[in-house]
Amino acid sequence: MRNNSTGLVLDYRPSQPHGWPGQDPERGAGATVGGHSVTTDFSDRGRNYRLKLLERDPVYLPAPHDPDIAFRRTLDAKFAANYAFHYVGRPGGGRDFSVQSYSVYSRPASEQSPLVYGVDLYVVFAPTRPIAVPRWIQVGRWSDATGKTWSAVDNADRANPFYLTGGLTSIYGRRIVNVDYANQMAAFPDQTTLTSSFRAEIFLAEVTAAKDAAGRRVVRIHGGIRYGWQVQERTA
Amino acid sequence: MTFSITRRTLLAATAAASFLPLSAAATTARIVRDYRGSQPTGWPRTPGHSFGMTAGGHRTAVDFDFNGRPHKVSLLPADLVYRDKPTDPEVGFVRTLNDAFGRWYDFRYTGGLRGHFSVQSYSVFLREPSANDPSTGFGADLYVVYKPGLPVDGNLQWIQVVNQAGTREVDNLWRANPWYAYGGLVSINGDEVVNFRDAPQIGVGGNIKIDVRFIAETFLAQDTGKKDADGRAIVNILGGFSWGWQARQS
Repeated sequence: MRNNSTGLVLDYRPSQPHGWPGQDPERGAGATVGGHSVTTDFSDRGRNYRLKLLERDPVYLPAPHDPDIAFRRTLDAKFAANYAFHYVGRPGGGRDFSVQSYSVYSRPASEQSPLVYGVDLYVVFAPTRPIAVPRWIQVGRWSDATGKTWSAVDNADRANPFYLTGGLTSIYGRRIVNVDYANQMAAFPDQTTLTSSFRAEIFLAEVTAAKDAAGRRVVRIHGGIRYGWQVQERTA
Repeated sequence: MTFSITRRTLLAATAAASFLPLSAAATTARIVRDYRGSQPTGWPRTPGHSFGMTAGGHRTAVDFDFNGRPHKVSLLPADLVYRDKPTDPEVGFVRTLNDAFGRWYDFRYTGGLRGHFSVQSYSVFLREPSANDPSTGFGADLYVVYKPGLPVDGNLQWIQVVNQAGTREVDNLWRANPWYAYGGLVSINGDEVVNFRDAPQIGVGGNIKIDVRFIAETFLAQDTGKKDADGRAIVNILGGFSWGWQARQS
């Protein structure tokens, strides 16, 4: 276990249940990938690829930082009509974010499945004082094989800005505040190349009981994390 | 031949239908029929909508043809039935839940629900085959808002046990807890509500016989944050309802 910056502890652990939905009933309860695997190489239809983490470890952020991701502007553009976001900095009354899984992986194609590859980030936050309603907000910046790039609130297209698999949950009777980013991708025949990338800033958000003078729900944005990955084609 | 069950994903590509909104009318002290038009739920999106939306209204049955034969999809029962405690032996709520999670959770059937359940969408729907999806789809759309008359918090969850095709299971999307995934405290355009959302459905194609029956008991639960003497998390089961649908040849 080590700190790589104020506010964040790297505490990579083996695969563990995270309390959010699983992707495959055959694998049992939803669980992290676990550990800290930085790169994975795979091939698809004669092309060789490398999936790697953009930075070796996630980086703590006291406030949104990346001008390309444009966290504040992207968030406001979609949700400022109904939510007032107050950026209050590092979580008070709480321990550092504990990063317990940050790994890439790939599995070759089989008779039952195409080639799959993915990324997993799992973070636990242990508040030492009651937090009204803990949630997370993630704004990501995607780049696809055509070179198209775009930023968006990663909220599963919901009527709120919050990340779907984060917040207060329960793991076999133990209450916990966490977030799990699990992005599994697959290689399908209509894809000419798998080249792509993703960068994100994800922040702990406290949904308060208050509304501002304009009737908007007040959400306090605490500290956050920057991370990302990319798939690049490589020569053999 | 295809026969795909997609109950676990919120798909609600519903046939257009005209619904007559009903004014709130209590059928029991705990269930209020308050059917409304399509509205956002705060849960993930559905095809054809920008946000997760309900089908809306109260459409109890739809007739359709499949392989040249008349069929019907209908609600089962036509209205939600309030339950202070689980009762349906076909669902087997208590045993199914305890078998899956009794090792870690102490479920206490306290009853005593405060407030009521506002049923705002309970409708069957039909999706005709299209160029994008050659299957015929059908199912039911349920949206319930808990109106406690008190502030709500993140300790309220839902537990649903279903019997589908004779298989009983806790409907939790393979989580390490029994909570239903698309329910509980959620934010909708700035308003915090405790709601429940499900849209079980099936897509069929080819020469098969349609005989589908889905029944569920769904209960509001309170995660107390306390442990019993065995170290299990104490969960109060406050009250719930029975619902479901079926599809078969007419």
